[in-house]
Amino acid sequence: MKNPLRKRFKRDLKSNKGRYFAILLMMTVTIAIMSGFLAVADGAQKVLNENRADCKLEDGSFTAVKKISTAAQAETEKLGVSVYENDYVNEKLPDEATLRIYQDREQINLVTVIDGKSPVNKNEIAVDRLFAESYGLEVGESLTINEVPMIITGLISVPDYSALFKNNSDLMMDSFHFGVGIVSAGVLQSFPANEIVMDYSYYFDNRDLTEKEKRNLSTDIKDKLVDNGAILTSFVTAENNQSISFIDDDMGSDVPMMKVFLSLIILIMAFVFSIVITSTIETEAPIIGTLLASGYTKYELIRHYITMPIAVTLVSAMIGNIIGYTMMPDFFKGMYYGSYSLPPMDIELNMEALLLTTVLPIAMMIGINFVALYRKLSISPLNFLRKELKKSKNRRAVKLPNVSFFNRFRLRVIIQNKKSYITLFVGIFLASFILMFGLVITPMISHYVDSIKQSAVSDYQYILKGPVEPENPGNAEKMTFSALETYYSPAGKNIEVSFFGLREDSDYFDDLPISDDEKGGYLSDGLAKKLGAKPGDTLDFVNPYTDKEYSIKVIGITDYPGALTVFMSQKQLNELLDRDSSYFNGYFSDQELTFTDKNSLATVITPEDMSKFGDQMLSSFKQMAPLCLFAAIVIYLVLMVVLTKLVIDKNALSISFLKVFGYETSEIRKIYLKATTLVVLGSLLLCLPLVNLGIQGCFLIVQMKLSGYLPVYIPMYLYAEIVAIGMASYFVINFIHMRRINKIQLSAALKNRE
Amino acid sequence: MEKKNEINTAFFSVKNIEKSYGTGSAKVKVLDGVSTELYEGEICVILGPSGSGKSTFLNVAGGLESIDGGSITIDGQDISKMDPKSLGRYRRDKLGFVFQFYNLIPNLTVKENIEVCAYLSKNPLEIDELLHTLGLWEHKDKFPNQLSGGQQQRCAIGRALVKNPALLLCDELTGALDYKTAKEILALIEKINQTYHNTIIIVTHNEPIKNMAHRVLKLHDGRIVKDYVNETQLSAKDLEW
Repeated sequence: MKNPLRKRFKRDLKSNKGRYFAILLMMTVTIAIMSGFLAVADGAQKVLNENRADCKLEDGSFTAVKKISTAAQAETEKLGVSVYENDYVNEKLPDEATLRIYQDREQINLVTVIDGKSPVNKNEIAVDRLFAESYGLEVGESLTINEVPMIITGLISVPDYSALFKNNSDLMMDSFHFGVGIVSAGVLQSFPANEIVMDYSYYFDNRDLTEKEKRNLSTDIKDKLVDNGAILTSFVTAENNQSISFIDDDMGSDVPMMKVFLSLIILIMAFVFSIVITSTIETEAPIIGTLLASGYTKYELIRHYITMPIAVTLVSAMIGNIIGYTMMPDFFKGMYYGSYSLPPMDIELNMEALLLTTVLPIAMMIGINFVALYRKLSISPLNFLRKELKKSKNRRAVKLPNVSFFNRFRLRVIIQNKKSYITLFVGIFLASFILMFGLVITPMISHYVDSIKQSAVSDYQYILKGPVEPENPGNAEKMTFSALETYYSPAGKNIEVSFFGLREDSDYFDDLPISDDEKGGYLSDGLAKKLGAKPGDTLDFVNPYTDKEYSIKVIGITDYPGALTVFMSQKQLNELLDRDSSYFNGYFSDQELTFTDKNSLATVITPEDMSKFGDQMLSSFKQMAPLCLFAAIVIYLVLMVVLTKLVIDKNALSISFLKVFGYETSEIRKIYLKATTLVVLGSLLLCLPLVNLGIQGCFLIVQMKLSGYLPVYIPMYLYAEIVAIGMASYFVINFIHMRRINKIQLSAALKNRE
Repeated sequence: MEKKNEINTAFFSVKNIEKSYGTGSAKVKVLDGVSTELYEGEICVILGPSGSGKSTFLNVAGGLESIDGGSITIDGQDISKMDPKSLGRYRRDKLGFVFQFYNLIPNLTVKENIEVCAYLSKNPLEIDELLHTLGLWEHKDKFPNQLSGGQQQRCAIGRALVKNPALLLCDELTGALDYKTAKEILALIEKINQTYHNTIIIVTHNEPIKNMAHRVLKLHDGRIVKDYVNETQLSAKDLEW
């Protein structure tokens, strides 16, 4: 005979359909998001790894002032490495975009054609798929390159530009203003010689090297090149090349974050279920007492009460996974393909995701509810029959302040339901955090871009390849620029820091007390925050091309959000870099400068460049905001409907009694609903500082991925928005509860025989 | 019944049982050296004022509460020495409980409520037959809230009986019922006793119920002040109060 208690499940489901639907909805949505995300992340990782292997991704690259000698290449290759010439030109396109054009690769960083075909003729070009989409190019269109119209034959991806970083020191990739193109053999030679960048890729012969061995070998390669007369302008390992490794870092933190998010939601739902079950046990205490007295064992009852949470979780897992694999991949693929240049991927069944979205939730549900049930059912049958469910009888009532009767009543309701309210608080915190994360990105980036523009010292910063005078110096001010690296321990890697050597009486930095006699420098506040440095500290830097090390004392910190920067006296910097005191290689200028030899110009930075960064960041995160808003509202609604309904259910008899005594419905609402309203409002307000802390902590992780420093900025109106969205969600539930209270009959009290 | 008394050993026997609540100066002795014996198939009514210890007696007899001293033997087994697990098994196999409040499962029908305890037994009674005996056949598919108090109590009795327990313990089973319904329930108990020969202990405030018992115990301040065989047993339908 099957246990007849199981017949309760269907009826319980029917009579509490709202509660179970809400829980099912929340868990299904969470599992669908998780399963879809993990399947896509896994697919992306797999296609990335396969593509890197198939397309022979470089292990590092370097650029040189001129073509390296055959001898230098031969000597270097003796170290166990193959060196490939991989030259390019940076072609300016309208709207401040740059297309980096390579010759079709045959030996290293091979091209994957996504749509169309590779260029064959000299007036053909294939462009990166992501750049084409962002910039608005299509196969068959014509693009003017080197003053010649070229037909776009195909859309491609290349393994060395999975993230479109123009410069390795850029804060963010920028697919709107930077892309990669491939032309057929020989076309590159038609560009002016001074525009061709001598770029090389190297590839280790031994494919089984450890990370440490790879790093050491890269250092040896660099040394060997320098020893053999190569003048390097950049040298970067694949690990430190943001165009290659940024996606790994990004996925490396996204996946664990999503796993934590899933675990938290399931944990909360397991607690919600345990509270629901505990409340049911309290209601059914005499029945349980009778069943125990009749010979039912504790474990039979645990099995009975734990079945529903497991069943709901199992159904959520099934529906969630089906949705996750059918409807969600396109959304998450959109997120990856909208940010990264990846070859097409296939979604396969991911065993880890399946375990995480089925076994883990069920295990958590069983674990938490078993403990709750075991504790709750550990009292004697007699105590159940007497409804004496508290282990300690001597618990004294909490003494309340001498406030009005209604307030004391409300406080009693809050104390009675503290477990529900605590769980609600945790849920509100989580939902508010998700909501804040979704809402804060846009204002934070806009604020950052605005502050960069506002604090820009000059309209133009020119970085030159050497000391060159402009044709129209005007009020331009000479400076020395150098890019050194320092170790950033949270990310476990070196980051690039810009060094500016300034005149003592700089017109552009008149607030900075630069002195030629003072050793050390002023750190931009972003750099100081990122490194945790303060005045008086000494920081170590290294020149990545010469391995020469420098120690710089921190004199002070200055407000300069544009980059990770050290400002110091030009004289001191020149001395540090073993340059003449008159050396300079850059200008600050409020007017555009012209140089006779355009080849002497390395980089021009304008404040507008930063808005490009803003566009890209906003584009990368644009899908986050609605997703976060949806997730947060679902969490708010589900937790509020389930947990606050328990308060009404638990007190249905008391509410009925109050009606018998002559209380009006509005007065009853003031007691029971206002208590919940106050808790919801209090939770929303109380969790705001915690949300703030959470966001700060979360952006600490984001900072690790960024090569710059993005200050956390949370405008005050966002706090108000969160409280407003939370309260709006609550008032929907409150309305349902009002109707529920109205429906409670006086007869419930009159029929009560206990 | 008289004959049975002479030839059988006691089915239910308590010897010098003691039970106290509280400690120190607040210690209250609720059962103080209680001893008695019942034979198989007897109906025993336990009377006494509030606080006399009658409910506690029923609870310790059912293994719901432990005793401080003495012994309780039911069908040859000393339940006072059993661990909680064995007690649970014992209750499952041998005992049926009926309480003043019916404690029916609200979302199970009458028949299903009875099946809940049938599930516990290897040889349960035929449920449909029992429903006829209980007068619940036409209500078998109703939920508890669709029944009168008397019908609910019938269902609770059916639930306790379906295991065909050797010992049926009833705590104020008519306490929540009106006169007419209470008499119907007592008549049902009598019928069950005659049909299934279960030993039945009824704890009640209601003095006239003693008249339907084979044996009557009166408790006062935890002690038995009267323990006698009722020679002038009345049928339940003839009880008056």
